[in-house]
Amino acid sequence: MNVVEFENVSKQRKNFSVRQLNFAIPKGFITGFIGPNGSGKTTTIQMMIDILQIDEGDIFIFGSPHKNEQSKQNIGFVYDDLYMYEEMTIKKMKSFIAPLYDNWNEELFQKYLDQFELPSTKKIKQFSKGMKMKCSLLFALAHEPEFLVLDEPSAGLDPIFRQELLELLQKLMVRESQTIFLSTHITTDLDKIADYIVFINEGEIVLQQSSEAIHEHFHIVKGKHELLDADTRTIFTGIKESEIGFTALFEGDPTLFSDFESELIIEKASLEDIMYFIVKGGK
Amino acid sequence: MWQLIKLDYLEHRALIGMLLLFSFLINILPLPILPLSTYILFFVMFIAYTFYYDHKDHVIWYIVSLPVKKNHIVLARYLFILTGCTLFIIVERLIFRPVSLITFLFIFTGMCIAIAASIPIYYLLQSIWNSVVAHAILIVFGALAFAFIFISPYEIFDPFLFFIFDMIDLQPVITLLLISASVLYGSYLLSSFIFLKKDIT
Repeated sequence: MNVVEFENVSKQRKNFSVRQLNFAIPKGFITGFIGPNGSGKTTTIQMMIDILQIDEGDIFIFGSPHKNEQSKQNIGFVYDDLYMYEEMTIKKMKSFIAPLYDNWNEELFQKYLDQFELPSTKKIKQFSKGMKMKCSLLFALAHEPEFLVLDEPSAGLDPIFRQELLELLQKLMVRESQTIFLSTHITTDLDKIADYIVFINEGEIVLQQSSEAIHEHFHIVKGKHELLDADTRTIFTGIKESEIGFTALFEGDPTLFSDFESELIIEKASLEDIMYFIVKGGK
Repeated sequence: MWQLIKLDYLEHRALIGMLLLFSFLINILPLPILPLSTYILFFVMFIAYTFYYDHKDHVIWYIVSLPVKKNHIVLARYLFILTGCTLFIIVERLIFRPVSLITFLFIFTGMCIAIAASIPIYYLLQSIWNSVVAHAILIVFGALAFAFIFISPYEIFDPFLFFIFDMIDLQPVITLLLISASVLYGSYLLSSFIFLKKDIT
């Protein structure tokens, strides 16, 4: 079962467009949404939230059209920043936000408030980037959403909190129905925790597979220039050449290279490798 | 929706306080009577300020992610501005400088028409500064159009004006409240339509 389904969704923006997005976010898993800066990740999430209007297609959340505000009872959104009036405090924010949710969990709110070490009476404008992110997360988690959407949550955060965030997300996954959609361009975060990957580039979905399948099918192949010719070049998704040889991304069964075992180094590709070669291609 | 009005009051309580302080000062201090343009300027500033922080902090992005209806976001903003302005004219025209109920209702209706004409501009235009300029232009042209209708040598508006005045003569309270409610409702529908159909930037 899918929590979210994008069906042929297109959106034209000034100097940028997303085209024919078709993908699903399966229930009970962490789906990583990757792509370089400006590839359409935030646009896609903003269409899901109904901040941006879609030109074509449909988005369904929990089986209902995405404009249905009731489905948001079960969703927690974490943006790349805390978009709240800077004069507000956590205490005032809570007095506004908590009554909106049917299943607000005050005990959980207090637990995260302590865990994140956030001051409840300090103005948001005095918060650091990390505190704002924690605050955003605090409100997204306190109503125990089944579906958590995070848009570049770790951008600009220190490595310690980034690690804590990933650990927290993994802890949340203990709940069977928990689904997380994590958009990031820091792919190393997803290497650790994602079950599925959706890769967007220049407004189009170029890859959507389980992490397992990706790790099984994508390999980095390194060798000397002499092994490259017009035919062999076509089997690689992208090639990077330097003075000492080439590095290429290969999608498929690596036993194809068994005859060249002594001349090639073949290793599993990381998401960063995949993103790099798909974006750069043969350039 | 009440939570959204509460949010507006939480965020803009200083603005309401300033409005009341302004009213207090101009009535307590021995100042000359302020021209209508000062009140209009304060009105434009009040509405512009209310929307300014939405734009500056992208607060609507956050609010839209919450389980609230989008048209309730618009309605809450109307109710906040309406109650804020009404509070001001109550203090100004019923407490400090008492006027008759009918005169008060005329002022209230004028205020409702001004609110109804103003708010859709802030939903229509993406930039807050463009909205403020458009709002100011609308106020100036609105005043000119109003003057033209009343002092026009042509009689094209007379049947309509006479009809309205006859209705006010007949049932002043109901007619003025009906006009206020109608223009605000029409304006709310327009703003909601814009807000539902446009990208939030």
